[in-house]
Amino acid sequence: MQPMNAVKSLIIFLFFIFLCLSSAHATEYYSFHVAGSDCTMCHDDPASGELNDTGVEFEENGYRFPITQKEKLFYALSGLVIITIFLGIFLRYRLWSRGKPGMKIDRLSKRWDGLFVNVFGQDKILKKSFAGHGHLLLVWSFTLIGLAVIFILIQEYVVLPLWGVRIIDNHFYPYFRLLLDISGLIGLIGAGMLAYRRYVLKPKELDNTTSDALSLLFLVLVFFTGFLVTGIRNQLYGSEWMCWAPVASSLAWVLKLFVKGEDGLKVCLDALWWGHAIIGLLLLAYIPYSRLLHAFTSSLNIFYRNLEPKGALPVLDISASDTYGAGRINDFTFKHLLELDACTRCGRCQENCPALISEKNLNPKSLVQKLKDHMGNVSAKNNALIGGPVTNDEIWECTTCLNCIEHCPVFIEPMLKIVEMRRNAVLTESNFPSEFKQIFKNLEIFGDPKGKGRVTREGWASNLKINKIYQTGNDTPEILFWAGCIGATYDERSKNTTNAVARIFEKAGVSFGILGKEEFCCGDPARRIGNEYLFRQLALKNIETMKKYGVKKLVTHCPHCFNTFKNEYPALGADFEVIDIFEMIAGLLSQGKLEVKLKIDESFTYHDPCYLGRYNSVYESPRDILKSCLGVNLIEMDRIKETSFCCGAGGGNMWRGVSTGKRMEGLRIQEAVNTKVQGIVTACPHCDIMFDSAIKQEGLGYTFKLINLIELVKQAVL
Amino acid sequence: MKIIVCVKQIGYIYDSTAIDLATGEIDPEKMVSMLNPYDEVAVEEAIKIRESEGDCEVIAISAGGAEAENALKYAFAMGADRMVRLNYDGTDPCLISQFLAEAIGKIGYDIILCGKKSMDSNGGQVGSFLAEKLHIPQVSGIVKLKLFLNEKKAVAERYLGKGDREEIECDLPVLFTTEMALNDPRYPALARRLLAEKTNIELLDTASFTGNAEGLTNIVKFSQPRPKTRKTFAPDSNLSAADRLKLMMTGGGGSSKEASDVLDGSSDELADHILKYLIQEKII
Repeated sequence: MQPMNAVKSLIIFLFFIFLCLSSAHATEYYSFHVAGSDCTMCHDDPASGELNDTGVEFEENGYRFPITQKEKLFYALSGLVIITIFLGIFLRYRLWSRGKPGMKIDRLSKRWDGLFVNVFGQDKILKKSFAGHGHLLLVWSFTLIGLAVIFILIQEYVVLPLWGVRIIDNHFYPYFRLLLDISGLIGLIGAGMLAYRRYVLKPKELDNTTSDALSLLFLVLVFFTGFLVTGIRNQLYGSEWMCWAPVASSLAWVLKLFVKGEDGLKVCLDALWWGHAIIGLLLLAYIPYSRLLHAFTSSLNIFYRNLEPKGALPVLDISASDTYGAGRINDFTFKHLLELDACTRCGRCQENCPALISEKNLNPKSLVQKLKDHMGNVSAKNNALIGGPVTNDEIWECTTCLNCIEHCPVFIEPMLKIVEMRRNAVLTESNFPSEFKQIFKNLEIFGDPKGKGRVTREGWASNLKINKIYQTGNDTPEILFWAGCIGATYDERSKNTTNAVARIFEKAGVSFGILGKEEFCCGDPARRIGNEYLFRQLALKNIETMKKYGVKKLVTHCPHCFNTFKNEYPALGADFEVIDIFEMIAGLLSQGKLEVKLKIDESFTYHDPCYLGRYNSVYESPRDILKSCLGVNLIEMDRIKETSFCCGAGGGNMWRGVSTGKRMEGLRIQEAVNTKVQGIVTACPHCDIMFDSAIKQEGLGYTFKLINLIELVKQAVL
Repeated sequence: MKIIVCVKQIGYIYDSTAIDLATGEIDPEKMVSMLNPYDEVAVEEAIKIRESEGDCEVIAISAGGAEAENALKYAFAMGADRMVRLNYDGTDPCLISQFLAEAIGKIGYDIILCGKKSMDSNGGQVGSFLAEKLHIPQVSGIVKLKLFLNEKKAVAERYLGKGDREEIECDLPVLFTTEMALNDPRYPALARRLLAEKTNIELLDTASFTGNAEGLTNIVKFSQPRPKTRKTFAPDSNLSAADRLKLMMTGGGGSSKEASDVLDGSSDELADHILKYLIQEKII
């Protein structure tokens, strides 16, 4: 790990340790000094203000409470708990630090923003309403109690010794009391909601372990006993602030129905106090050894989250090395390993994973959990991941659709772990599905996945007069239109789409040119399959070509190329602007450069391609074109936009054909058919190919249309 | 033990209009440069022998200009131990094999592996010439190879066409030319590729060699087939996208999934299988 990163992460780490320690101390303090203390402890008659023995001793000790046997025991226990917490977190930290360096701590203000929005605002968690709100209540309960505790600490250790002033005085205390009471109540409600969801609603993405039950039980008990202790004390000592703790007082009132006499209550109080103290301490001590650790790890992970464009894979150093990517657990970076501990098993990744939904072997949640278990098993640290905790099928079934990353509330990136393992399988082990071998060779030798050769790349344009940039010399057109391998070389449907783009541009009078035979694959298939070396070769070749011709703006209709150019090429030195074709067409339509001559008066549904939607957040412009410009009656499927289902082509799986489980494209077409529309509109050549086969396989060839959005625009404007 | 693999960097023409009939020149844009796929199989077989027998040195050798180094580097990346280039620019197979024979004679050899033919000139002569010049046995177009090193023997299997095969036994040293069906060549790992760039290629100058005789053959005319009506291949639309792509890429004839349902075994097992199938398909 780089020294600077180590120092910074240590500071963050110590900050959380401090929070942990202070909450341990403050819980104890809170029970003695605030909840427990009312004036009758120091004044026999509070109205007169005279001190009794306790009060005198208290004053002589510099307002420090005299320590009794009970307290000594309590402090000793607290000490043990603090050591346990410290040890637990340290043990986990040591596991993470076995990973390679790779933490980025730039753009600090953005990181803090994200931390606040996602930890205190619970932004991503709230996307699931019930569970999100339950969790929100719990988090805020802890935050408020934590803040109260810090406040007390400041008063006790800073304000009181320095200035001898009490901020929490008789006027202030009731409000404080009420705040804590409410905090406790929302915490109890939150814990109740989560327990209800887990054990009554039983959503299928949750798996229940003893640890989950124990954590919830501790939480509920801590709140419950806390209320009872406060309530009974108020009952016993007749505090005038009883009404300021409504929940505690009501609970105590219920208890009083069952317990007769003051002596009984005193016994109850003693027992409950110890119960509260011990359960509280146990809860704290349990944190690093249970899912509760996520309060630290997930916050850390949110802070350290990947701020690069989400469509870009991290750049891999391909200089000479023994190993590339992740073949063993310690080949992952510190951040990757931290993520393993940040996972709370909420299952939002698996709920949206197309591989799991189509009944394949891959499950992003269990993949992360398996890696986590493997990380904990230090003796197995040098074992290969594939064949150990992870199977070959799992890593090759991923379609890199980004659903798992998009939906993780704490910014864990399961897909990137799969990509790292693929990189190892390809670059180090050279052990990968044999179908990819030909793809790699074709990409390397011919420059396209199917080995059609570069001169075939102009075939689609043979009926048009298009500027080929290598012919125009210095007079380079303003925009480069990138045809892409599918649209230029091997799929007839996509060749028509490519042709349609050119005709639309011609119609609108856009000055554009193509690279034609000087175009090579952008490298997306190679990179997603894990062949970073090949990707680099292709990308550098393309960047060189574009620099040679001084390309300033690039537009393409293939979302995979679009994503690669926009998000991944800049890291390799590309400096051209990449234009979103749908925004551009929408612009041309609204400026009147394109005129809709034929309204498409049909009902269609629109499929968000992963690389356009989730990868680049292009959701609205295709819909705008469809609805307002073309007049299509757009009926949405269930899974749209962020939750859009994958067609199954990404990550090289179009060429491989995964034989396990159901076909993703079939599931998606079924979903589209269920919306009772005339056809499905796509915006990606990969989806076109997949759906084309799915429609025919389902026997819908004559009844259900498949059309690319570009084609639809062409029909309308030409 | 020394295994010699002869490799060639070929210029593969992927477009039928690449050759200008009037001048005989080849349009470089319609040609790609790559390691001859038959030779790739030969390299893979040599590495496999080393992996199973141990204590072998795999030497990749190529006669050609500077572009031949790419073939050698690829062979090295796959796992060859040494790279040797004979600096020679011509194309005459007889002369090439003469040079190769001299160079290989100096290096020493136990097994020589050559591709059956190169995919650019389709001659298939170098292997045979080479065996002749070294006075060793040659088995052409092998699809299976078994070695018995203790007895200094090898057994190779080759296709006769129409599905017939023959097994040929011979003594070492021997020269084999390889058929594509022999094995599935590996994809080189990155570390080896980077190493190949750094490793020195031994360069032998052919000027010192004796075989400076004229070539025995000469190309006098080149012609192309009459253009045919272009047939667009339409794969069965009931297949999945991946299968269709596979069909398109291989030009058809991909394995169909049902083919694996042919049963084999004793009559009891067969009956079991059939019963299971009938129940599974809900026929009974």
